[in-house]
Parts: sequence; C-alpha cells; structure tokens
Amino acid sequence: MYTLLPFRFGRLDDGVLVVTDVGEYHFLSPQEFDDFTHARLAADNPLLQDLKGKFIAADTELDSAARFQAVKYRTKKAFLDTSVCLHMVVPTIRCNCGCVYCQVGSHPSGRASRRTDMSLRTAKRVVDVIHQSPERNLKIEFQGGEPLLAFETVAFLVTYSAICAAKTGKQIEYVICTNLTELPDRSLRFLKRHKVAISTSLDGPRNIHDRQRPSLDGSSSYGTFCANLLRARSLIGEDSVSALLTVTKANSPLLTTVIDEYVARGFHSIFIRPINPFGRAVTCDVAHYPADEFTARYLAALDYILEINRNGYRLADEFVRTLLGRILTPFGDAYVDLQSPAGAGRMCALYNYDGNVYASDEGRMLAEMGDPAFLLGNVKRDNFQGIFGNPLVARMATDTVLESYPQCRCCPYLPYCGSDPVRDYVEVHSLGGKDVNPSGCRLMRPIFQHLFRVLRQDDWRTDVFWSWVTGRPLQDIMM
Amino acid sequence: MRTLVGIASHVDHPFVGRVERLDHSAGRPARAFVIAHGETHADTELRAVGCTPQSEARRTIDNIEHLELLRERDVVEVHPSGHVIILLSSRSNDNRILLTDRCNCNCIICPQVPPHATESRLALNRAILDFVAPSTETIVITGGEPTTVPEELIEVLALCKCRLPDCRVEILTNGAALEDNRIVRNIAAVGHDGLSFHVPLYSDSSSLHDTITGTRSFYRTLNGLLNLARCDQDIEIRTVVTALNYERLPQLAYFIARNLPFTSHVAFMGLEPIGRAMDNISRVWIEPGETLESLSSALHVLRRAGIASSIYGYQFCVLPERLWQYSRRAISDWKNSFLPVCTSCGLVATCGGFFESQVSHYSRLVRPIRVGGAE
Repeated sequence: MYTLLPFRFGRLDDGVLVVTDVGEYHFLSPQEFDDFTHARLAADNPLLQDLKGKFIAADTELDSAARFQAVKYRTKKAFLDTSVCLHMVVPTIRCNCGCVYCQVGSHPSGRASRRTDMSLRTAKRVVDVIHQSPERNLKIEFQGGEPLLAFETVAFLVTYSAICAAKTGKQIEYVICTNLTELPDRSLRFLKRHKVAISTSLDGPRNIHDRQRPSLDGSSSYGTFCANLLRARSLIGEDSVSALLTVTKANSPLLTTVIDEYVARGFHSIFIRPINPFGRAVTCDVAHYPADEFTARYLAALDYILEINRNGYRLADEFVRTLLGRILTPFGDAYVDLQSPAGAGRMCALYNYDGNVYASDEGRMLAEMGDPAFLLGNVKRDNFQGIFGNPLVARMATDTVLESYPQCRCCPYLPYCGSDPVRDYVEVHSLGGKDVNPSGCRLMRPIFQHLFRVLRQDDWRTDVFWSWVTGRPLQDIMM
Repeated sequence: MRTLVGIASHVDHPFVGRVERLDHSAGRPARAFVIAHGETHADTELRAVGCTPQSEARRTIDNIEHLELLRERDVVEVHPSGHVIILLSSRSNDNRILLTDRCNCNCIICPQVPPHATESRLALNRAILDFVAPSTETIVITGGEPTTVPEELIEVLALCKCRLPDCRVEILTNGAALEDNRIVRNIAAVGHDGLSFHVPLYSDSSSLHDTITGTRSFYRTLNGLLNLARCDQDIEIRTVVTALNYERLPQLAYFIARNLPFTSHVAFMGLEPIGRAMDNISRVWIEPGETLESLSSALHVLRRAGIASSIYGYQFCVLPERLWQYSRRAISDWKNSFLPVCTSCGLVATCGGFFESQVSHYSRLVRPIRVGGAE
C-alpha cells in the first residue's frame, strides 16, 4: 500500500501532468494516473518508484518523507523570508525619447524642475529609507524617464548609498535602465567605476526601433543606441548591457527579424515583454492586442531562439529562464513580478522623483494616470517601517496568495506562477476579489503548457533550457 | 584496505609499525618486530619498528602469504590473529585511518567486513598519525563507520588539522549517524579546511537503498546530508552499481540534483566482488555492459544540472568512448590491477583497470584496444 502525497494535476495533450508544491513533476498516461490514484500500483512497479522519488507518493516512513518535503518547501519558498530587496528609484521623469507605448507618462526633456526631478534632499532620504531595510543584499535600479538626464542625481544616489553600505555592511547591486542615447564619457566611466549594470531597450532593427522609440530631437535613436552600445561594451565589458524587447502590434509579426537584430548586435540574452496597459499605451493603437495573440507570437519566437542556440549561438530568453529555474531546480527566485504572494510592496518598491513610494513600477504608472491606489507613503515624512508597514502591503500579500484563488488552487502550474496585484486591479478591477482568473492566466497558462510539451520530449531543447538555467555553454550540457 | 595474513607468535594485542628491511649485520634492534619468512620469499626479512614501548623482538608473524606486497616504509597494523593491515602505503597515496570496526549499517555489498573486533582504536590511530609523512596529500578516514565513535573522529580530525595542515581528509561515512546535527556541528567546529564527506546513496527509492544497506537508513542518511550541507561541508555521493539498483541510476541522478544540489561530486563505482559482496554475488552481480545505458543517462542528468561526476572500476573497453572522459583511476594502487589480456592493450596506462578482486568477476566486453594502428 502507498499514500498519495499532495499534488496538483491537469491534462496536457494525451497525458496527465502531476506537479508537487515544490515544483517536481511527472507525466502519466490517463490509465497510469487512474491506476495510481486508485492504489492499484504494485510496490515494485517502476512508476510507483518514480513517483516516490519525486515525493508524489510514499509507502513506508510517511513522516520522514513529509519532513523531508518540508525542507524542500522551505527552500522553494525562501523568497518569503526576503524583505524589500529591489528598490527602484526615479531620479527624473524627463525623457529624450517619445516611445509610442510609453507606460510611465514621461515628460519631454527640458530643464529640470521640481515637477520632474528628484531633489538631492529627497534623494538622500530615499537612500536613508532603503538602508533601513533589514535585507543585507539590496538592488537599486534607476528608472525614468531617462535617468541619465539627471546624471548628477544618479551619481549622488550611488555614491551616498555606497557610503551608507560601507557603514551598514550591506551589499548593493546597481542597475540603470537607460535608452542609451545620452551617454557622455563621464557618465560611462562613472557606471564602470561603480559597477552599475546597464539595462536597455531594443525593439528591432533600425526601421522598427526608430518607429517605436523615436528621439524627440528627430535624430535616429537607433543610430545613437548602436554607437553607445559599442562604447559601453568596449569600456565596461561585452556582457555589461542587457536588453528588453517590448512587443507591439507592429513588431509582433516580425519577431524573428527582431531576434536576428539581437544576435547581430551581439546580445546573449533577451527579455521579451508584452505592453502593460498604462500611460500612453492605453491610447496607442500598436499597444492593443489580445494576450493570447502575444503568447502565440512569443512561443513561436521561443522556438526560433532555441534553434539559434542549437546552431551554436548562445541566446537565453530571460523570462523563460526564470520559469525554468522554478521548474527544473529546487530553488525559488527574487523575480518580483511573478510570485505568490505577489512581490509588490513586499519584495520591491518604487521611489518616485517626488519622494512618493509605490508598491511597484506599475503602481507608479497607475498613479501617473491619476489613481494613487498603490501609494505606500513618502520618504519626506515616513521611514521604512511607516512605508512598508502600510496595511496595503499586508493586504496585497494576503490577497495575492494564488493557493487561495478558486481558479488557481488546482492548477498544475501554480507552483511556478504568481500574480501582479496592480495589473489585476487595472484589468479585472479586483484586488483579491478571487472571483475571476488573475489577469496573468491568459498569458501564463499557454507558456507553461508549451514549456512542459518541450520538457516531455526531453531532447536537445531540454539541454538548451539547462544551459540557460545553469548559465553554461550548450556543449557543456549535451552528451 | 589490503590485508595480509600470517601466523603470529607472542603478539598479545594489536599495534602499529613502519616496515623496514632488517639489517642482519647491525643486529636486531630491541624495539624491532619481525614480519618474516614468507614461504616463497625466504630471503626477504622485513621488520616493523613498533611504537609500543613494551615491544619485544620475539614477536613475529611468519608464513605471510604475498609478502612481496609489503614494501619498506609501509605503515602496518599487526593483530594477534596474524592479520597485517597496510594502512599507509609507501607506493601510492592510499592512506587510511581505520577509525572503528563498528558499523551501524549492514550493507550486502560491504567490501571490507572488519576481521577484528577491538575496543577503541584511538591509541592505535594516534600512533598511525605519527607515521604519516608531512607531505602526504590525502588521508582517508574509514571503518567500520567512523561516525559511530564521534568523539574519536573529532580527536583524529583535530590531530590531522594540527599535524598535517595541508593534507586533505576524506571521511567515508554512510551519513546515518549525522542525522544528529550536534555531531555535524562539532565536526565542523574542528575547522578543518580540507575535509570532505563521501557518502553512499544507492537509490532514489528508500526501499531499494535500505535493501542494499540492510538497515532502514535512507532518511537518516538524507538528513545527515542536509546537516552536512547546513554546515557547508564538501559532499561526494558514491553509488556502487549492482544488479539491484542499476536500472534506476537516472532517477537517482535526478534525485541528487533535485534534493541534494549541494553535492559537489557523484562517483559511480563498479562492484568490488569481495567481502560480503562475494557472499551475495548472485544477487548483486550484473554484467557491466548491461548497466551502460542507465549509467550514461544518469551522467547526462548530472551534467545538465552542473554536478561533476566520475566512473570508477569500469574499463575503457567496457565503456563507450563518449564516457571515457568520466573514467578515473582509483587512488589505491591495488585497485588498478589488470588481466593477462590487457597486456596488449594500448590504453592500459590510463585505464581505470580492475579492483584486484574484480579478476574473479569482470565484464565479457573486456578486450585489448589497439591505439593508432589499423586493426
């Protein structure tokens, strides 16, 4: 006799996918699933042994198995111990580009003013609040607008936080999200000296990129982008710049061309994201497409990326890499946009130029549109405890536990999934309403199905997946 | 561990000594102990200079079989039963501290069922450590099961750290007693930098593992491994490939990657047909050729996850060429024996060879490989 341990399951094509809370999975035929769940498998049946080895069943020593599984669950959910570790800071809301889908409501660049830029006094308070976080390892990410238009503020934030870190013993990683069009040598040398990672955007080859991300001065943002990309790499290092691809109605039919552009520009990673319904994206035509259309295009692009890897060029899809880490390894991660409970306000926060603190980047985008629903406080009058002790943070956490959603609690993909309370609030007008599917489901479910179809084949594509998850060359994985 | 047998006289209790050639012209030193007169080597007279103060020259072990295996500067342990155990070999870096004869498992493939039931071996082990050359690279602490005498284990580790600071120490343990985290913390508190734990895990299936270990030890060992990981200890998993567990090697590899991701190395080892393994040979022996597909999949699972792995006790002629990169030679010289058929093989110099005991059971795939020439 044997006991079934807790698992979720669902049909996938002609099989049944069984998944445990810690993300271990097994494919069974419907007949095997039926035999297994009706306790008809003999003790020496290899299938039962397989399921035991994955803690989907136990025969003897149930207590020991449960205790061992508890250790694994704590490992998987270690992110719950994490306090606010990702601190996004907006030194200015001014920008020198006029991206058609701009989600943050940036202002055309001009002179800095109190209505667009963070004062040094506010910047100092931001750093002080960040350092009150109990977390030892912190990440400060500069967002905008275009943060390099306020280089002096960025420089102050970095140097002052480094001084604080030296006192408190915290480790700080810096990232700057920049369009790479405003990068004098002085800024570049500063980024190198302080090991600030560069995250940028590339939407395709010249014609696509310039159409979606035009410079306000009428010059080609693509040309400047390429020149500055080369400068950054030659000064800081080949892997110093990563890039984000925003998918619009305009470039989604051309994703293979866009991916070729990433290869041509020497990128080894790509983050492909759909447009969020904020800011200019609400009214812009190219921003409107159904989630399932995005997913279909994205999955076709993923297959194309896999082929590129097979042909010897290393190119990792960063979003899939994160999901695979959850599927293939015993560990969780600090990816804040897809956690259960959600990471907003619990693992990350955004400090706007005016000192307002929001639960996430999307929370500030919503505020720019006039709804400050996710405002947690302001650094000018609140300290860390005041801001993150806001009852909204606790409410967002309790309301975004997918395990408590009727539509999610039985989904086999739940252990890998998560929610975004701001997006749910905007799209389904619900925060913890639990009466509708979280908005991410239409996007995520087909992606998970696709990944598990590939994993079920267990062929060279699984080798590529492992090369992404472990960050090693494909030839070190294949046999 | 290589053990020779002869006939003892005047040996009242076990002791330790270093083997030297007897110089007749200088007369027999008072503290000398004679191991002599192997039947076929009447001219070879070796002595072990004992360290016990009451050593007497009268003590001898005669009629030792295979006396030729004993070399000068070997360190041996001599027993009243006539057993002479080579603990530190002058020919190889195979240096072993036998911490205890006791064991808390009852493995059906145990290659070295200890022949002597002694009380504490601490005094003997202190003596052995005195003989270890400071340049020694590696010492293996084995048993029995070293963790059944945790205080002695910790004392020996502290001695190693103090006297042989640059020597790596490998502890061969089944890990079961390490489920008590206090023991692990005390071992970690010794602060030995070059310490590693080599723990057998035979299957992802608790029942299969427990069948092989002869005890209900699967979860005890897993918890021991978790405790070692919590104390940042270096862990190698060792799996002997037998008829019972070979089919599930890929699942075992998956289990290690998923549950024991802190493992730094996995060693798959061919069966040594000796000791209790020989008693159970019909149950545990499997033609090595039959295990290759499973072994290869297991190596791929570990390779994907980035966990280093090796194969011991399989020969190049048995392994497909793509697995040759995983083949290693055992550190014990007596585990690198060869068959007459191997003399014409071009790869004999780098082949993992046979455990000496494997000459009775070996793969039917064994054949000489010609290198460079057309066949």
